[in-house]
Amino acid sequence: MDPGDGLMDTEIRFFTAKQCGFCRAAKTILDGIKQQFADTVKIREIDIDENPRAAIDEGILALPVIMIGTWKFVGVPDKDDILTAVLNSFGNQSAGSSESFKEICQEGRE
Amino acid sequence: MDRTPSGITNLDKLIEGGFPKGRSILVAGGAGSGKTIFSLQFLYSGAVLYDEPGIYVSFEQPVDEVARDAQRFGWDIPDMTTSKKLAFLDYSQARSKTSDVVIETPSFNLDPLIKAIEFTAKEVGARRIVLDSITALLLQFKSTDTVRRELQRVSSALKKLGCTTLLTSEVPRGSVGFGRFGVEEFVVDGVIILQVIQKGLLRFRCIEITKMRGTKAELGLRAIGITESGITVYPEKVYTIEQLGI
Repeated sequence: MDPGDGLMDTEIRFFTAKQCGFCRAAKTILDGIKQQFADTVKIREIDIDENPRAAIDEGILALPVIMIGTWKFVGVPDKDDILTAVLNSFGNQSAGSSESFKEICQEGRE
Repeated sequence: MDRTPSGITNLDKLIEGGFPKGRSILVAGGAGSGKTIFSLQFLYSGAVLYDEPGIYVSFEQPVDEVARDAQRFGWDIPDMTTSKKLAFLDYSQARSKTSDVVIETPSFNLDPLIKAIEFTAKEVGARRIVLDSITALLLQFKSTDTVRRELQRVSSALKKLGCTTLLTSEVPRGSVGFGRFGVEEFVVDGVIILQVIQKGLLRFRCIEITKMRGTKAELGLRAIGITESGITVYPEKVYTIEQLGI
């Protein structure tokens, strides 16, 4: 059984804008997470200048905002907090907490 | 100076015909003092009587509740939104509370709020804007210093739009300032205070204009009433300190 078996992709929604300096710092952190989890994590960038309606519909007041499952980050986040949210989203998907899930968690933290 | 009629019955007699056009006015008051009615009346009358579309930005009460409450004054909000005379942006706490865990650091800006207002203003051709309330906006964040700084940016952006803007602010009971955070009065060109003063068993609704740049405003506490058509000011009925016992 592959470590990723039974896990669906986790989508990270990242509200950003080109002129937002804090957003660039947040993106660097997300790029690190993406590298760590390869194809299991998908990052969807929503540029509020190009798509203001999306931010209005979600009630987004501030930038950067990162949403992972039911976790919401406002401001430049700490990488460990993002990691916890990602692992938590995996945990929610694999209710049985299989050996493969534990392996992924361990790899993520390392 | 160009004026924006307030839409509040008789108020314009006290402020040279209306609010200075394109400026920001703070409407401060305690809970139940009529801030939301005041600001909705400003928007609704602007849309109906003066052909000035408006935007209501709610940080506290869900907009469907606001629309329902407006019905008692005969203000048909759904009709106005359908005809694009009014637009509502809902950032109420009830709506935005969709996350189990919220982690906040102070490194953020309020650009999405500015963008949303700019975008909506363009959509409806807004001439009037209401932010109700900035107290609730500040309470949605832990980093109040950041929000204070950002509020200045929001205020500058609204000025650039050329819209006349009302910002409401809740004054805690017993407070002598214009809001909870001590920043509210510094980002505006005018301040109006709504009060309910209790003397014995009697309660008096009052209005006071304490600041209105570019305007010779009539000073003093004046009586107001909330009637079936909204707020009415009684300009001749000036309360003295002795009358109110304050």
